[in-house]
Amino acid sequence: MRSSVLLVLKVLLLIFIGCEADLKEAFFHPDVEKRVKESFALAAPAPVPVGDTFEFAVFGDVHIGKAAGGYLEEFRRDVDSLGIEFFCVLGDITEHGTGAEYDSARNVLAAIAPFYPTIGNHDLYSASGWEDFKQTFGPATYAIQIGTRLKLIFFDTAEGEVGKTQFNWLEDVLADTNTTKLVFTHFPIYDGTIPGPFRLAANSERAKLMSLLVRNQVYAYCCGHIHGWRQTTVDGVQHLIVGTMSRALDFGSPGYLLFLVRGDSISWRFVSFDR
Amino acid sequence: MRLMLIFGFLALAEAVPVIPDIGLGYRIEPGVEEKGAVAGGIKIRFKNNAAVDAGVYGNIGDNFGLGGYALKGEFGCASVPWLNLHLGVQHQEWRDWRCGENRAFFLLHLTGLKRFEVGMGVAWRQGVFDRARFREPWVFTGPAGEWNILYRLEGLVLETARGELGLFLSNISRHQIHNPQMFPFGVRAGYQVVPHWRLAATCQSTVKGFSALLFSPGEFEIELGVRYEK
Repeated sequence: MRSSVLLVLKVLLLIFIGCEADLKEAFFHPDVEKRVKESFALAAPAPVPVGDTFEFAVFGDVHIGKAAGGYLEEFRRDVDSLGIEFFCVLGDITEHGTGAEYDSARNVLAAIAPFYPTIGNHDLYSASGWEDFKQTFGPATYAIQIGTRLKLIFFDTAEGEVGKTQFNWLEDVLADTNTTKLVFTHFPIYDGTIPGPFRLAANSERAKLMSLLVRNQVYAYCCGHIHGWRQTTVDGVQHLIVGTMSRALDFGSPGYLLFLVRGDSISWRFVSFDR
Repeated sequence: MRLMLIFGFLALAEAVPVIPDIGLGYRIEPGVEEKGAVAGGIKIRFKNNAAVDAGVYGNIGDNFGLGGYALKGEFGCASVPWLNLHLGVQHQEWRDWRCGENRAFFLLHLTGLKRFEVGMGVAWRQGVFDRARFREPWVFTGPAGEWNILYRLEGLVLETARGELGLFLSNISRHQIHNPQMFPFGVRAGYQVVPHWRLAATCQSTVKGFSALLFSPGEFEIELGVRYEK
């Protein structure tokens, strides 16, 4: 019995070391309610001015600070060649959530194009993770309208939960019937018939969120976290899980989503870095 | 519901040993739902550890109305008395959100261990988000179905002539199946107040956050009920 307990403790320790997480932060990070309320006190980023036809990209899991580097240089070349107006980053922008990594992330990403970020679990892996995120990027929960027909909704699932305040806000913001709505966050709701552990944890929370998306006819729910490309449609809502931008953490099909907006119509394709 | 009525008539006729139960509960999952529950059920025991268990519950508060129902068969084998096979189905619905979930499962249950019960199994869970069909209990195909590993570990820490107290770590109960990355744990107690009447109480919470390595408490649930056992 004692050896079994020791074995479990050793495995947990290895997981923490392997993920380079701060043990204290694992239990004492600022919770989602606090983060969301603080996000609401901050100004949302300004919308990028666009024409009638434009393209934008979506990716996640950059993990700046991870030694092996990523695909950002390839992405920058695509931005230049395809004329991508802006991009959205779905969390895990940094590897350890340190101030130095946030500074580096801001410099690297801002040099490519205007961008809209939200937060991931790795961004909270240091004691100052949330404070540094706010100071570097602003809120993690916000909505912006691009042009006249497109609404981008970003929300915080950094620890795999939504929380009461954010649910209430989502109900309000999704009720808009005049725009095409895209939702961006870090955690998937659904990741296939043989699920990994890397999706929203609570069953009723998943049901409530899925129901909100279906009822409000959301065009797509875009997320990351599992470092692999997945696509499912659940009762009219597309669930798009983009791959990672980190070479070291790639578990299949690195790349980004490229959305094309042309007047009232919207379409997307997955651009792979397996070239 | 029809099965419950049939079981009720069987109990009245004393044709088979029937154990009815009724209880009240309270569940809070911060940010998701907060509700009271009224639950009832019936268990019929047969020979060789075989049994049928059926239950139904309603919500008071969020998602007011019918909450779900479940039916489970337990099958023993005379030559392997320490092993039971549980086969069951569960239906859960969230009326305010207009969605539901149907589950079918099997669980291999070791019963011969002193003071311990251990079970392992697999469930298929099918979310139903079609507003016209979310109340249908027989929908088991669709775009949001998934497999779910089941585990049940329960240990008795105190046992007297009239009562017992146990601890459990289990993601399956009569009406619920939790995702594998949530860890429901709790205390279960029973006490015989008068002959044939037994009080039963369960207090349960969950830890979530395994997939983010940022842990937080999940839901909190308490149930208090009474069971008639002849």
